[in-house]
This record gives sequence, structure tokens and C-alpha cells, in this order.
Amino acid sequence: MIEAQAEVLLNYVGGQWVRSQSGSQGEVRNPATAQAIALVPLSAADEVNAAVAAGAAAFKEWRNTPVVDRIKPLFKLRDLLIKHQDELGRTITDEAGKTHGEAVAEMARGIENVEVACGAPIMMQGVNNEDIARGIDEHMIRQPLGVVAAITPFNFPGMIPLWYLPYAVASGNCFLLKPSEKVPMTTQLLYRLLEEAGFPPGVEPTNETALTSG
Amino acid sequence: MPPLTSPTTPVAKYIYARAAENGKRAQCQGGAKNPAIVLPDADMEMSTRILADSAFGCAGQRCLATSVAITVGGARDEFTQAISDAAASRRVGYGMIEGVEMGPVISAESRQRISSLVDKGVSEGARVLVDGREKEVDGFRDGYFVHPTVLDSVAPGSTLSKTEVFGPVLSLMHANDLDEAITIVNDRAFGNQASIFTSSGGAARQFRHEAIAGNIGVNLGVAAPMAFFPFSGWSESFFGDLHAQAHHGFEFYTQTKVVIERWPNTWSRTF
Repeated sequence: MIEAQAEVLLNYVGGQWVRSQSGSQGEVRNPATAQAIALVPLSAADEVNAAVAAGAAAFKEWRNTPVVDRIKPLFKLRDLLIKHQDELGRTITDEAGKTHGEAVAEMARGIENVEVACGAPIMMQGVNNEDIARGIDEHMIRQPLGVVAAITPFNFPGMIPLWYLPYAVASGNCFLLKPSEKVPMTTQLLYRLLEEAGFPPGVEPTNETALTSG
Repeated sequence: MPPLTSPTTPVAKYIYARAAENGKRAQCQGGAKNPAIVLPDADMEMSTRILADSAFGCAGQRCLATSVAITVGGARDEFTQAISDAAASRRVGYGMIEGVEMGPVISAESRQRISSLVDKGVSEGARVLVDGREKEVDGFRDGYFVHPTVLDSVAPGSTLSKTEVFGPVLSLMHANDLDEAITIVNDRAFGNQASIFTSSGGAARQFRHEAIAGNIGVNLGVAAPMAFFPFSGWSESFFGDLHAQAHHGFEFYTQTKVVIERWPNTWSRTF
């Protein structure tokens, strides 16, 4: 049975919250009560492609943004995650079932990854040798890949996306996240905070979609 | 009836293969079956508390949950009793309620699969010491709860000894000495984590050196690397080379470009 107020979750693509047009959706259940607490869109392949396109469109400007500026939203995100840690924890408990203490601890591990990714200016450094031959120099530099994606599991809805997202965007990529359809509410909350942290549109599109659509 | 085996590793392998086929890099986390060795010289009270949290914390739904404990020599009786007591007394319920130590598993299907795996273990000769199935939680009768479950005499090579349960189920095995225990640890497809509980530096060193796993715990039940170390699963637990987190993250998400340059001046024209 679906509660009347069950929220219909949205996709976040190119800086916009959009309703999936796939016509297919799943129920998110609180495993402690078996109650449906939200409806998750099972997005279609063309919607995934649109999210990739939004990332590709944002890529050129983002990779040309200096790394010191790319990490500024991460510093803000880190503070927002701490401010909302209890709320994120409650969402994790309600959709993934773990205790609130475990959920809050999970967020702490995620936040630590945001902090480490703020070291991108040093981590992105290359190496060079002057005079590999007389008058000739060789450099190795690091460049981002483009649009990257993560498909994440249900068991750590807050932490595991943060194993990837902060590093991907700090190093100049645009990032696409497909969370587990069992725990998309944590993702939605995380992306509200990413939006508030001030990433430019398209840098962090998400798409709650079914594995079968790819 | 859901299949007994977890789909995690087949899905990870499939995505990794598809990525390779398309010339894309990928890092794919697979399943796990994490063993812990308990030596007779371990601090038994502390080891029990740590292993109970590893096996039953997050309802056993961690990729670093210990699901097999191998006692060595005289550790068997004391540890078996202590971990059974810890399992039976763990408070299970809705995770927002104060004092609850363990929540439900993720779905009705998952609960059914866990229960079937325990049945399979029994049919292969294991003995259930603590049965957490078919136990209700007051006020949450519809929830997907499985209470902590402990099985003894789980045979090496049996389905339960090899299959990821992803639920609060701990299998006990026994070895006569450390070498035999390490052989049991290494006789499995996964390599996410392996732990040892001991007060002997030499035993810990031998284990650290020989265990086939990418995350090693010494007197630790969940050896989760901090954000500034890579999360280092091995074998069927990971497909890829660079792992998640830290410098591996930056290397994974960047490609290197080499520039060799010469400028027209007197030096560069000397061949």
C-alpha cells in the first residue's frame, strides 16, 4: 500500500529538477515497516542520454575552471553535509534500515572523502624533467576524462556516492550518478545540497534509473 | 524463490567487461565473504564485541562484514559461547529508536534468501546455535527483520562457507593451527577483507603477509580504509586496477598527457 503523501522523486539534469517521462516507477519502502515512502522514477535510456549530454555540454567550461575554483563548492558542500548530517542519517535509516548511529557514522566517512578531494590542487600536479636531451624538456600533466558515471549500491547510500563524486568533479569531470532504486531519497537530499553548494549546471547531473534501461 | 548466490560479482564483471569492450576505464566492486581468525591468545571479550559488530552491524549488509569466524585451537569453546551470547542479546528494531543496535535487511526478498542460505547450511551439516529467523519485532511486524544468527561446524567448501549472505549471519569454522586457518582464509573466491584477532605480533605479521585480501584487519572487524587510502578489494571482490578514494580517485579520473618540447635557440639546435 502506498501512503497518499509518498513523494515522487525527480531527476536532476543540467541544474534542473525534472520529472521522468518514462512512465515507469518503483516504490521505495522503509524496510522496518514495509511502507512505501517514495516513488522512484525508472528512467528510460533516452533520459540517461540527455543527462550525459548535459554533462558533456558543461564539460568544456568546467575543465577550464581553475582547480582552486573547482574545489570551492566542495568546501561548501562539506559544511552543508555536516549541517544536514542528522537529516541525511534519518533518511538513510528510513530507506536502508540501518540504525541512526550507523547512518550518521556513514555520512562521516563520506564527508572525509569530500575533505580529501579538496586537496585536488596538489593531487592534480604533474611531473617534469628539464633537459631530457640537450635543450629539450618533458612534462606529464593530468587532464580530466569528460563525463563519468557511478552506479551505487543500497547499503551505503550516503557514503559510496562520495567515494567517487568529489574526486571526479574536483579533477574537472562532469558526473552522473545512478543510485540504487532502493535508496534514492538520500541521493535526492545529497543533490539538494550539491545544488546549494554552487556547482555549475551539468557538472553533477543525476538520474534515478533502472539498470535495465542501459 | 530468489537465487542463493548474490548477483553482485556477476554484475560487476559484466559492467567491467562492457566498459573494456567500449574502451572505457571502470572500477567495479564485487561481492565478499570476509573471514576472521580468532587465536587463543586474543583478548576474547574485546574480540567478541568487535566481531559481533562486524557480523551484525548494519544487519550484516556491509561489503566488509565478517561472515566467517575461524577459531584456532583452544579459542573455540570460549569464543563460540561469547559470540552466541552477543548474537542472542543484540537489540533489533527500527533504527531511529534509541538503544536499537541493528535494523532490518533491505527487502522481503533479501530476508527470504538469507533464510534459504541458513537452511542450505544446515542441509550441508552445519548446526544452528542462534536462529534469528521467524522472530518478530514489537510494533514492526511487517518489517524485513532477521535477528543475528550463528551457525557452527560450517564445512570448508560448503555453499554457506563460500556464498555472500549480506545479512546478520555468522558461520563458525575451526582450525588446529594458524597455518590451517590461513589456508581456509585463502581458499575462497573473494578478497575484500580478512581479519585476525591475536596478541601475537608474529602471528599478525604472518597473517598480514599471507592473507589473500586487499583490506586486512588486525584486531579490527571492519578494516574500512580511511578516505586518504584506497579501498583495496582483491580477487572476485573487485574488477579494475585503481580503487576508490584518495590518490587512486584522482588517478582514475584523469588521464596523463606527456609533452616534450624544444624551442629554437642555440642549445636545442645542438644534435
